[in-house]
Amino acid sequence: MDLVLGLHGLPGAEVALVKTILRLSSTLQASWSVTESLVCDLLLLGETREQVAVAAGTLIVPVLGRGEPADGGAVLRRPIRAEELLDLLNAVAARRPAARARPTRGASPVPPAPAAATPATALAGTSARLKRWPTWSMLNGNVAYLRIATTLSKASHTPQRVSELSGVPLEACEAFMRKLDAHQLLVWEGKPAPRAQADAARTGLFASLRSKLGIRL
Amino acid sequence: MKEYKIVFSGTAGAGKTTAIAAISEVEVVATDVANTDATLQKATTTVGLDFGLITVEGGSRVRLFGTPGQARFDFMWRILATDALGVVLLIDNSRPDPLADLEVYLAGFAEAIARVPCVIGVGRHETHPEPGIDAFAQRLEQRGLVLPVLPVDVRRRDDVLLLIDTLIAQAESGLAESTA
Repeated sequence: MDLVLGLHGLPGAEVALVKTILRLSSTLQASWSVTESLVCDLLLLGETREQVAVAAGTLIVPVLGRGEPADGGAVLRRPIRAEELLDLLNAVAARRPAARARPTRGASPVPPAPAAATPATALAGTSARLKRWPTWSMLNGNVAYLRIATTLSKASHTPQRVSELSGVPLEACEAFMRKLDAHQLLVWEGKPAPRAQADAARTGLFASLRSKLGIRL
Repeated sequence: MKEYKIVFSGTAGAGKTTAIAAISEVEVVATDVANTDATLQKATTTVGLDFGLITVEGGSRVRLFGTPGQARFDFMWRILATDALGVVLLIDNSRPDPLADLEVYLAGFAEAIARVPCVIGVGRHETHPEPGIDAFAQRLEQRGLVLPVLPVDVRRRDDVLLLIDTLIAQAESGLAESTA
């Protein structure tokens, strides 16, 4: 099945930019066409005063300036960057199992679709670490995601341990780790060995430093 | 009472002194001289160290050091980073080749990065969006490194706090790592 990207409320220059990025990309993992109607799989929504009615199942992603607050869902930031747009399209395509893989240019082999996300039951008790820092569009300026990614950048942890260290609820940790896994950013290292005793002095120092600076978990 | 340190380094003009001033409880002791480098759009530049301080519960102190940005001072970088709580690398994205700048600091702090937390703050990203944040992550991946990379404006205290919080989160993660 081909996927359709809708563009609504965007200036002409951004519409042209998005079309150019799609035309030139060799890393898209599904076949995307562009429309300026509201009948689409993914709608990039710019500034508009009208109520936008879309079909059930259409994902709406607002296009906002960097630093503008978002309501917690996916956002595409201005200026529109090719890698962020392509990451978004590939993430949406990964959730649509019927999407057709797009042939790549030249002699390069067709890249594999992102691995299926690990079910929640498989995550429990299994540790993982990052093999690459996530794209900024994945982090989306979200401090919780940043904490989770940082925790996984230095060492391998289970979702439960990530939640304890980052202060982010377990469900959110599991969901973001599944997202990281879907983008093949995690290395799973099986069941963790028993933990060594934490350095109490350092643990106390970090808590004191956060308190002094007014940083809340 | 114990003494700890956090090191701020990065390109000249990237905002190391400004970042320290944003969180130091004392006025930053700055060892500046008049800038004679025509490529730097600033009146002064650090040639010694910048020094700031945070006192925490129990009287322990966290000293904040800002290194001179020029590569000829890399001997100071290595000395300062020894036994640091962490290193904050600030990159000015308005410079001609920020990714090459990153390489200089990754090389200069290579020993430290292997042992202590490190976070990279990319400044002036809103006005100079290229290279993108993801390009820095890709360059790190090519070097076998996974380090937090954030766009920051060190004139905003919250952005500096985010760098420090990220550094602490790395440190906590390393402390909590399972033993084999």
